Amino acid sequence: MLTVVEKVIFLQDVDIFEFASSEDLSYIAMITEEIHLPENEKIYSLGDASDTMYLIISGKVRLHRNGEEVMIAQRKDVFGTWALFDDEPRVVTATCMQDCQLLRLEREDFFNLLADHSRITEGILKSMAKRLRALLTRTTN
Amino acid sequence: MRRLIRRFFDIREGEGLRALLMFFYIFLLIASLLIVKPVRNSLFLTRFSAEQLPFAFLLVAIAAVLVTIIYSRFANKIRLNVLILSTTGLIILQLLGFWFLLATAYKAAWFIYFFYVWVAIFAVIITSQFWLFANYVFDAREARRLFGFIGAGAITGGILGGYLTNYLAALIGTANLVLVCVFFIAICMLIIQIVWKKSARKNYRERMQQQKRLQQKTSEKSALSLILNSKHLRYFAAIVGISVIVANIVDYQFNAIAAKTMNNKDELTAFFGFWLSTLSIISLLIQILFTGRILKYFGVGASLFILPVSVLLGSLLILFYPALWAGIFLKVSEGAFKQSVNKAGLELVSLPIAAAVKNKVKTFIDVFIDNLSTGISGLLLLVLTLVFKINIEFISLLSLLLILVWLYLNGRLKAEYIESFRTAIEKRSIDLDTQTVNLDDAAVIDSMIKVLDGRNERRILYALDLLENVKNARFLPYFRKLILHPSDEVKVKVLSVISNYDNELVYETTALLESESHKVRAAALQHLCAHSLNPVETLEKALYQDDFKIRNSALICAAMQMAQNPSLREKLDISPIIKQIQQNLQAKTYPPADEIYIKANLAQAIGRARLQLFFPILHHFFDDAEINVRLAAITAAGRACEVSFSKRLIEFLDIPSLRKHAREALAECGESSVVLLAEALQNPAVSPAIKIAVPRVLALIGTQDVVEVLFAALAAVDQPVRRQIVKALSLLHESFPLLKFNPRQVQQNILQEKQAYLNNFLFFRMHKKVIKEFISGKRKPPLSTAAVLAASLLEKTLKERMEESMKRIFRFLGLSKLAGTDLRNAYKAIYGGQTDVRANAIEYLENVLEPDLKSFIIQVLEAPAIEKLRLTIKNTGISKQNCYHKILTGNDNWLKSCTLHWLACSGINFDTVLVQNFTGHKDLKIAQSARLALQNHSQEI
Repeated sequence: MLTVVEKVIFLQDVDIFEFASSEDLSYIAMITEEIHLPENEKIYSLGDASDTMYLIISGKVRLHRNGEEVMIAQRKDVFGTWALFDDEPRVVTATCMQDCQLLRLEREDFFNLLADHSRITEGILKSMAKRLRALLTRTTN
Repeated sequence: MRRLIRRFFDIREGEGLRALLMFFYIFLLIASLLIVKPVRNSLFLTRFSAEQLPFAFLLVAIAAVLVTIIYSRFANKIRLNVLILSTTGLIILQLLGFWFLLATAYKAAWFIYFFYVWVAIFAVIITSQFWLFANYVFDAREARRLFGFIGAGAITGGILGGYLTNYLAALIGTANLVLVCVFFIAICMLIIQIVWKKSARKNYRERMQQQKRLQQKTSEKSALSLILNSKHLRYFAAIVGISVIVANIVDYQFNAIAAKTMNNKDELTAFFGFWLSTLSIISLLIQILFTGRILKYFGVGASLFILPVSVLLGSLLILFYPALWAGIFLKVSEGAFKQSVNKAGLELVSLPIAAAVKNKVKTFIDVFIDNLSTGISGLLLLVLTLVFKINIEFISLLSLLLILVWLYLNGRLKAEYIESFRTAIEKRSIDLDTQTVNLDDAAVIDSMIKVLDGRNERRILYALDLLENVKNARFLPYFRKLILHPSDEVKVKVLSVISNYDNELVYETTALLESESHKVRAAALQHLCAHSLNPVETLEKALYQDDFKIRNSALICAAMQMAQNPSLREKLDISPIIKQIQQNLQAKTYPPADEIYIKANLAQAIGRARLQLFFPILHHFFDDAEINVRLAAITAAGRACEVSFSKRLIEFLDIPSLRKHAREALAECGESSVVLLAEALQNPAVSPAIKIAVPRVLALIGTQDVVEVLFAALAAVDQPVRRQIVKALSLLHESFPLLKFNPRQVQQNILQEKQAYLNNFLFFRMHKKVIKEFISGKRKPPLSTAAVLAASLLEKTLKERMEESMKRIFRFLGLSKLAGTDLRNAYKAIYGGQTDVRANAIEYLENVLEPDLKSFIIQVLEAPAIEKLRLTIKNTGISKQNCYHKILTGNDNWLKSCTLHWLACSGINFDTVLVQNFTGHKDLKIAQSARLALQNHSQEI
């Protein structure tokens, strides 16, 4: 099992947390749960209630809908992010393509953390704004 | 009788004493003012001629500006009650001095001028202090209802003061009238003390915060630039300026004609006293009989034209018949309409201006524009009377010219106002908490009806908020329609708005008792109680209804009424109902789906009504399986403000899902929870999560004790807690300007932060050297990927720690003599990335910082990167060999965890006994990293 500091080292490279300080990452690390899943295991299915985000430490995860592949997430990728921000059901199914080591982050724990650490919220907003700006620039171009 | 009082003044249960005391306070103040004003005028005119009045106007303008500057410097630093009491005490002493000089017939020119100017300043200070005080005595909603009643105190005070002067001048002489003022003002001092203790003190803290926020909102723009950038404000300020000049000309003409006609001092005093009071009566009659109707039927435009037109007529009269009756007509037409119709009209046109802007601009207009105009009028009169030797009657020509400009500006302002109002409703930019005027203008009513009849729920709610204290039958059909609106929020709001109307919509309101929404039921019941001749009976009827939902709503409504009106506590006993609900809960007779809501409601009622007998129920609900019940119990505990709850509430700070509610509840308990919170902060056994949460609670309480507690805890806590404490101190400094921060403690902490920065800088340098040794092969074995990542994490953390220290130095500097906002702006500019702004900020720091600190901060800020920073550091004993050991024996848990992880991955030797001790550390991060370090170390061996 990873220690909190090891989780922090991993979280540093996750783009949504790029503006968080190392100590703030340690608070996030404390509320994540490390899970190990075998190949072909379904993490969640289309239409499931969503309340968890996942981060891939090792392995690959296939995100698909009605047989069509949407994307393949790999090490340091995050999936199920929207679960943190809305109550809508899952729009894709997530299946392990290999044995996977993941970190799960529950919405309720995450929001409780944000309520007490405004700096983390600030960092996440910054990173989302950066993503949106990049998206806009790409669309405009 | 109760209904009669409510009908006329809308004074509600529990407000009577406060309103009455404030009524008498302003009554006595204005009566005093109306006594000293005639004394001053007669004294001046019998000693000098009316031609000297322009000099007095000029002196008043200059003195007012000077006094305002000095006064505002003190006003921001002294607690309001102390400020008002000391000013009032000083006024009494000065009045006694004046009485002595007047009684000994002292008539030196300087004294007469000084007395003239003093009365003008006295008038401004006492009235502005009164309204400032009133703002803390009543909340915004109360103010909207009660300021009319209190304003009537000012008018009746004016009537009494003037007539008393007229009657007593001949009887006791002009000089002894001053003693009557002393007596009146001494009573005011007693009233201030009673009202402050009873009501104002508790509101003071909260309002200071709001005020600070308002100031911050507009801090970027000066009042002048706000005025220049808005057409609406430009016209408004110009109209105020012209009206002040015209008022001074009118005053001059009136005084000059009176002085020509009468020579005796006492006769003149009585004359001025009589006419000032008569003016107040006429003003009152116009206010009661015509102002509302003029606004309702002719709109704001007409209300703004009445004053200039009446002064125009008066000036024409003086021009052709400069007799005493014409002077009286001119003065009455100016004074009576100014305080009634024109004042209401101006208040109405200022309604669409955002509150934060209004707050700033109003002071500028009241102080700067008013006094500048008084000065200009003094100069104009001097030129006309002394240089051109123009007679009193021909001065009217100047008034006529100014009035024409005034009329033109009124037309422009009206057009701007309609446009601004439309925009303000659309943007919802009118600040509901600060608007205290009635919306009676015909054009405004039409705009509001359009919104109420529309489909946009947000706008309807906003319009209802604006109509909270407006009473106009034209809205009733729309309220009747809205009471059936699908939105519960709208229904609740309509019920609140119709509380202004007598027994309206009772049938519809009774039907709402059957509503599915608890909030709607409670609001309906609240409305029915407010309009019932016997609210206790109405509540009891609802409390014993068969339907448990109505019973529950009645319970919460009863608790709210008991909290608002302490006299109800003796008449209404809700204990049997609570016991019944408790029994039913134990017997599980309620539908399971409703149980949570019933428990939460019960907790809310106990908390609101502060029913000590049932506090054990709250303790029981603290451990309920349902989170919503626990949260309701926590909120109720905060409302109950009972020390016995504080310990549990502090424990709840450790549970993330309860933390927010626990924090708010503890803050609501206020000073009573400070001791326990201080203990939690200092106690090593208390969890870090609680310690991190405590400073935030303390920052909301905002007393001097809190500042001491936070400073005392600073030295003994871990980094995250220290960060929170410094943030809390900063917040306290911003929100509560009257709190004192010991400069010695502030300085000490700045030095500590500087030292922490230097230590971390040395750790950083040594760590970099160690890494270099690994890269160059001096140290073996070469670093693994895990070790490189660990090294980089430690490096990053050390950099972050240095940045945090710098940030805290700025925060501490903000607590010292330098203004917090300027430093915050400088800090933002420095870390904002724009080179030119950064250079200006550094330049600013160069000028304000003390030499020692300056050289350190500037060196750090000017370094392109920490790696290139060169600091001269005295020998601290930190070396390559001992730097990690020093970190491990420090008090920064996160830095320790990163260092232990680095030691675990790099294979560097360490003190195993020390690290062994960390394996049982209560901080999981340290314990895990220590275990990993020992495990890797033993494998290597």
